[in-house]
Amino acid sequence: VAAPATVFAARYLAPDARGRITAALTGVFVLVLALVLCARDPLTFLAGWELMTLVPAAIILVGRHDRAARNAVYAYIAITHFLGVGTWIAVLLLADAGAFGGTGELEIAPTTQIVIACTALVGMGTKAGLVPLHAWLPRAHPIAPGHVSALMSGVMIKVGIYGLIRVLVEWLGETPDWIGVVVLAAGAVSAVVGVVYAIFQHELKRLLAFHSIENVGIIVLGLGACLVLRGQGEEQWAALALAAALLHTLNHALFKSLLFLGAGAFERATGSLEIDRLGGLLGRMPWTGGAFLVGALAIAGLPPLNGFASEWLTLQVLLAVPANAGVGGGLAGAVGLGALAATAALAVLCFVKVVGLVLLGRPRRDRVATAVETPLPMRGAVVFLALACIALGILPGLLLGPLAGLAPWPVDDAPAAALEVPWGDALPTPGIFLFLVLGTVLLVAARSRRRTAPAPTWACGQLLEPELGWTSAGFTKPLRLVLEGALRPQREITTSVRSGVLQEVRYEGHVPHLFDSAVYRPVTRLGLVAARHARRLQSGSLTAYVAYLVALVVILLAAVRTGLVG
Amino acid sequence: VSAVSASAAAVQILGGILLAPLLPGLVQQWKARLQGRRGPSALQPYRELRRLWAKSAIDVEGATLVYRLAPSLAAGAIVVAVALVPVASSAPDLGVGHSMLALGGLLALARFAVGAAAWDTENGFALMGASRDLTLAVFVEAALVLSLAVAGGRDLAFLHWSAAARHWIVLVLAAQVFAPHAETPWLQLALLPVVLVVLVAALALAETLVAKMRMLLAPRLLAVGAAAGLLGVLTRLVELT
Repeated sequence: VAAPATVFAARYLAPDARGRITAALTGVFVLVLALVLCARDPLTFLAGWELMTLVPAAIILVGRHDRAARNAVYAYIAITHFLGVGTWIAVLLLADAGAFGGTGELEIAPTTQIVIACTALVGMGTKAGLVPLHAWLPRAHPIAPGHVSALMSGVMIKVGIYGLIRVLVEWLGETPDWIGVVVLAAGAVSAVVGVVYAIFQHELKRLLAFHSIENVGIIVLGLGACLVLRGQGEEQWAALALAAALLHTLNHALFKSLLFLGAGAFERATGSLEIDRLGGLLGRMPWTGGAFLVGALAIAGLPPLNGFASEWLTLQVLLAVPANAGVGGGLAGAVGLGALAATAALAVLCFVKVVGLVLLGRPRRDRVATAVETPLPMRGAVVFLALACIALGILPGLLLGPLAGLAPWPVDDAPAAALEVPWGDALPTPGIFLFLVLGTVLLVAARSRRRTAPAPTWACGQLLEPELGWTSAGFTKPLRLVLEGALRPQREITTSVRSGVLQEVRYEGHVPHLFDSAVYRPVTRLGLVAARHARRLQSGSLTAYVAYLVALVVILLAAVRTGLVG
Repeated sequence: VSAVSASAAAVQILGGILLAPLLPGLVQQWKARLQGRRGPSALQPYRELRRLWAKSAIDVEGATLVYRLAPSLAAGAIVVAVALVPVASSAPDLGVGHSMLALGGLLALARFAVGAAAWDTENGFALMGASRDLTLAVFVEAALVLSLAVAGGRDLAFLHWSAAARHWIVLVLAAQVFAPHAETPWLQLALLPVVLVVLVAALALAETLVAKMRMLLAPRLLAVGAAAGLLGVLTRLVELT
């Protein structure tokens, strides 16, 4: 993913000083991401972890100076640092237990184990973008340059997943059942919340950012299934669940960076990513548009692409949970199953909308009508990623064995091109791909045996005017009405009447992000109040600070004396 | 390949492709009879397909390749889906497996293609249909008839056939789930037409008794269905322990 993204960036960035700084920082970002993954001691890991947060913030600030961008970056750093404390606690406790010396399960007391699991879930879950710790994600991704969004979504949040898998699956060994259930629940909530809010977004990159939350949810569902199944002693199934999570991680990295790079190219070509004001880009930019279409089909989880393969596998392991786990775990598995099925259908709805508004139809602005295809490196990067999506969709089974083999317990695997699960259900991806292509080609041939007749669109006699074109809000209205109780959309209709004649009707409506108002605002308010109280401590006089230090030393000495620490 | 599995494959493919249009035709005819009308012949869908097949396809001005490919892709996905749904327990694997989850994916692919084509034509009526179809699909992977207002000729024939074949797929699935399980595959094959006719009659009766449902009320009904399913899982779990 990093290679296509940097090739893309080579031409995407403007050849001025700012572009050069961004390019240098992008290189640093890639190296830092690699550093975290290779870290063998806690200090390197934590240093890499913090740099991984700070470098993209710097890149965003190099590119954008306006107030909105600064606010978003501030929120991003605040949330990730504040909740990132969990990572520090978990990693330091693990280091204390000797986790970084080697691999394999550790001997840890049950209470410490629970503390580590919970803090890791908070700290690394924030980085991965789990609901309700996700609020930074839809803020930071849209304002970053296209290739940095691709790296953030494609790799950085995957590093959070990597941390979670290392901690929960490998180092902690067998955890109590309820931790698996909590992880399953977090995955289900993230998947559904991510995709529902994605549907109601009007800005392409913000929409894609919400989809990252959805896909992290799907990955975490696989991870949760792995923990629950392992707790039940179903090691074969647990290894398969881990493989499902890892396969979806890889697939999501591919198609999400493809989509973000495509969005960057569209932004460059048309100046804006307001999806109601694009349109017809498949005709104007066939290579980028075609690759974007492949990415959209993949993220919507449609056969025969890679997103479908890993969602199929995740569904299969979730099906195994009710059959093999107890009542609690089984019920969680069934709920996760329903959530994943609904998520897949919602993603189809969302990406029909995105493809329709961005790629198809007529251009909805003058600047879109004159958009030109991107230069070769940018084009090549997205086409390469699209081909990877297709290849992994046809032959996902080749990766399945090695991925399942990564589980820290022994598994027997047989390499195959297709996906297959132990109770006999199989997904012969090559067969489906072949039949699908063959059938479609035959039907297209049958269609074009006869000359086609050109005609304008017929809308029951109504003239097609740009003002009457369907918008994103219109297309998603049925769903908005169905989910009204949960989403609480706001709308406002103002009419102006002059001398008895209706002059104008203005309609405004939007779907507020409830997590911002209901969860984060009270926390922020509390934080500000606490800060006001804490300010009283800062008297500015030297003697007061000396007194604080002395008090601290005395307290520490007393604690050592009573055996509380040390 | 044994005789029984070969005949099961033949029933599956030929039945799915050739007999599928008969099912909605029968539903329409019996519904009309129940309502005291004469109604069209049960063969009406075949006549419509023949009429549309004779016409040339229409290329909407300004539409892209996606519009031209969509009906073929949708019908292609449904053909694979027909090959995937077994009619009897000995039905052979036709190279596409028997995964029900894959079936869901293929039906979703067909919906995606038709919805994208609707956007390509920018036809408000087509988009209204696509929007409702996709919203309902969130709650159920069911067969919904959706026809594009603008497609013509062979494209429309593909779409009509796809809609009919979705009837076939769903009804065959329902037959497998609800009908008593016969012992031998031959008996299963023999029983299939009987069960299909019963289901068609039930569908006609239901469509007559229940007035057209308001679009926004349908999700509630489906949500009740989903809740019942969850309850079923729970009882099974309690039973096991």
